[in-house]
Amino acid sequence: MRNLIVASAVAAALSSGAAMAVTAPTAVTAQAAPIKIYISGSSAAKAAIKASLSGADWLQRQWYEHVCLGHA
Amino acid sequence: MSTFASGTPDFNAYSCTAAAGPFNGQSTTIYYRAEGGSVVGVLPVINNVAIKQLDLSAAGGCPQAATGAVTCVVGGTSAANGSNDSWTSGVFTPTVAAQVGISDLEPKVFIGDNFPQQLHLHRCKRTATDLNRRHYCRKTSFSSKPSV
Repeated sequence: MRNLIVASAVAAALSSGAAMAVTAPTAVTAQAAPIKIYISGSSAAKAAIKASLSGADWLQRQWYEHVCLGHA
Repeated sequence: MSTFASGTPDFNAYSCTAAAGPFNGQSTTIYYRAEGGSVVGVLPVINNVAIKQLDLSAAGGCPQAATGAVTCVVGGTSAANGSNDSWTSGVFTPTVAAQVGISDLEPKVFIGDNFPQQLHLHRCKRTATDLNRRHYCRKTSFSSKPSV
């Protein structure tokens, strides 16, 4: 359960800094970013991570229900 | 936002400038390693191990001028290089251990017969007790293969 709580916290943290489609950086800019976060784990969460970054609330909600509540 | 992805094997990075929140206005890159699946969402975190992530540099072979959906190449295969994180190109080892892990399985299931003993990168074998308590592994060498 702890990891699922972490997943929920990550979703909340990322969405709090959402609307991130302000720029489309090159790889040069991306690797020089002052803020870097390293995540690893289930491939099923990739879409949810991206959705959180884009502020797609409905996808984030689906992630919460799927990952945190264990819904299929 | 630009997305950098290797496909198979499964390494990714997402980058943009935050428009709100604590990182407002700052260039931000989130590395997401899905290669290895749920296992790499649990054991590298609790064992405090840095595992490979997608290399966005020119040396890593990632296109430097492209934006949007960018494809980067990681050398190696899951079967041949996944067990010991020995990818031949396109990855790097961060200076910090895995900061966040996501798993769709309870961490405590990765014990006993379910512990991925062939995966040297995860180092020590865990027990249900310490997975629940989040104790860190005492062994830190790659040579210390998980014991049965």
